[in-house]
Amino acid sequence: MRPRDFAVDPSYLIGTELLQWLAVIAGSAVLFLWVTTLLRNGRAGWYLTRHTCLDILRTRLYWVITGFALVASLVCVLLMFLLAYPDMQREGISGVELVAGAYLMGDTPRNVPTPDDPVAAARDLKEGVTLLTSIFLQALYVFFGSLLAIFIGMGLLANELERRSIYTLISKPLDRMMIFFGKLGGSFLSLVVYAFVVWAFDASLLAYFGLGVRLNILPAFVVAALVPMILASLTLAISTRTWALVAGFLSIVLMFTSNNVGTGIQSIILKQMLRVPAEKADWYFLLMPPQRPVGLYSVNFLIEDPLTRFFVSRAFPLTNDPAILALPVLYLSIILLFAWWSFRKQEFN
Amino acid sequence: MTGGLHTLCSLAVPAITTDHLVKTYRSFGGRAVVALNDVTLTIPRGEIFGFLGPNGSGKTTLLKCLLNIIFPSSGDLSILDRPVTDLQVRRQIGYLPEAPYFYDRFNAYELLDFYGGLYGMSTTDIKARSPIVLAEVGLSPQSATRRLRTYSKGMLQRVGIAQAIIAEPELIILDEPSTGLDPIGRRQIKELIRTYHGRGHTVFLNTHILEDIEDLSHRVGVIYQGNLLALSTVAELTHAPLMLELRARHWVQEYSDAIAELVEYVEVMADGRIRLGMLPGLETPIVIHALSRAGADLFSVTPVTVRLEDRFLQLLAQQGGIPEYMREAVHRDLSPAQRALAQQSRGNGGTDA
Repeated sequence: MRPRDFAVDPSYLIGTELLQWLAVIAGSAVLFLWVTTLLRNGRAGWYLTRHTCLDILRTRLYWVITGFALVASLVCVLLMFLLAYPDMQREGISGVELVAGAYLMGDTPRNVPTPDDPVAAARDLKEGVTLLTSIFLQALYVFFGSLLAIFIGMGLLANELERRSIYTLISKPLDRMMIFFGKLGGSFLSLVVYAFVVWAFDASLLAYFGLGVRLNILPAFVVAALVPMILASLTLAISTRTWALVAGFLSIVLMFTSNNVGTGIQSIILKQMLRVPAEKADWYFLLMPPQRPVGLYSVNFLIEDPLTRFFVSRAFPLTNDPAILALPVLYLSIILLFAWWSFRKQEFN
Repeated sequence: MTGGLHTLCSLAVPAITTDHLVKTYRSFGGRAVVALNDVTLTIPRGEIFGFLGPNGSGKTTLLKCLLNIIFPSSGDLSILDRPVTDLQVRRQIGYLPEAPYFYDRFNAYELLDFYGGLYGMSTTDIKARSPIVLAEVGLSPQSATRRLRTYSKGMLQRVGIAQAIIAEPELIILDEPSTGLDPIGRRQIKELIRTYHGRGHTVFLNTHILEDIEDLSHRVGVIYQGNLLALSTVAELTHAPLMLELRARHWVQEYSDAIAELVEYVEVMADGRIRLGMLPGLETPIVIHALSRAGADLFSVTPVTVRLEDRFLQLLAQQGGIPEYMREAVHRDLSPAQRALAQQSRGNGGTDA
């Protein structure tokens, strides 16, 4: 069966346009706040951001989680290699090709799935295994990055509040929002370091198999760090109003449940309230094919798509739509606007 | 130089001004708790100001308002004639919190680099200034390269003071600066405060160690239950008519009669000490001479001075701010008339703490 051409469906276009406009408006508001805050605070803002990042990078837990992410990636690749070994022997595929395919599917002519029938193409052993491996690698990268983001985010401000070191910070010539954005910027920088480390490890893995380092997957890794960044923002926003552990717990609960909650809310709004037909309701505003869940955690799948674009771009035509970043930008903006509203008039007792 | 900087640098501009400042908290039950009640205060530049009050009296609330940590419910508040939210003004504030916590994965140099950077100092300036302030607070270069997690409480206190003065701010706010310091450290910090005062800095000193305030401060503010009870110089606050305490082999009524015209009162204490309230302008040798002529055999004559601590406790006692069992000791150094007055004022409105 041919997949529906969502890109030309008028309902889809209306939905994506609306979403993109909302994302542009909210994103611009956040960007404006961030830039004006930075301009007002000058060097002090940069010092806070840099210092926060350095402080995070000196935390043992940061490197423990990053280490787990690396080990998990390695185990994932080896496991796939092991599981596919009998089929590989039958089909005459080398291990090098398999591992390389996991990263570079869609990047080499041999592995391009048939554009007319991507589902059939994915049934092919090599594409199937490599697709699965790439999804697992991405999932591991995002999962450990999300955990890292929550562990980072929960302590950044909450610990300052609990230890009352926030008093010293607020007494300095810094806008309140610079403190928030500085902390957030520092955590983002540390997540970029995480993305770079995992990328360097995976690229080294390719080099070990004799394929050389493929630099073109680095931007995808950085873009995929948006998921942890959203979680870091969320945790930081919550932690301005509660204790570190509570903020971490709430963020982890949201990380695992928001997908179902989001799907439920969407279903109620679209199917029950707006009477949208079921076949449209699943993807109406949210860019995704019907088989994919939506909701807050579906950001995960949405943002994986820039990665997927490198790997399986022809399998899912929607992944080339730049609107794919609209939802995560919207999420991030809403969280940051809430934090800005909450933090600027907060009293620290 | 901009007009704003002119204002900041003008000596005529007070360092801190509060005008009818009120801060009210809401408890969980919705009950209003007044932490600061109509506090009006002006601290001129170049002064060492001591701020006193028992725990929970509103000292920290005022500090938090000054530092924009919390917001006043009503009234005005300015530092160097500018609102406390003004970043230019905040560049002129150095603050040491009580029981400071700093990022313990950094060493002292890195911490000063961070805080110096927040003040907008250049890297060169921070590098030049860091060894100076570390030496001023008594931290050796070897200690300064160690991570803060290995520091003792006293060392953390020193590094806390260092971050407060790294940018040489106009107004230095120190909350319990002597906490955790040994006697040498305390002396060092007192000298440091004098040094910075000598250079024209204003120091706001919030401490329970009244001896430090007595030694250092020009003026003292006493706060209790959010109300400013007293605002004057240490000398004014501790000023009292001279009182002599005598010890004699025997004391008979004739001795009291012999000096009746020279003193305000003679009080024979239960333990045998005799207290004389001197009349203003009368010199001690005249009274001693009169007693000797009357045949009194004195073996000790001590002037009784009112210390800041006594005066502070007396002020609190007047408000019912100290427990009953302490009251007698607090009023010990008052004249009988003052003591009666204190008892009367307590009876009229004071409540037990």
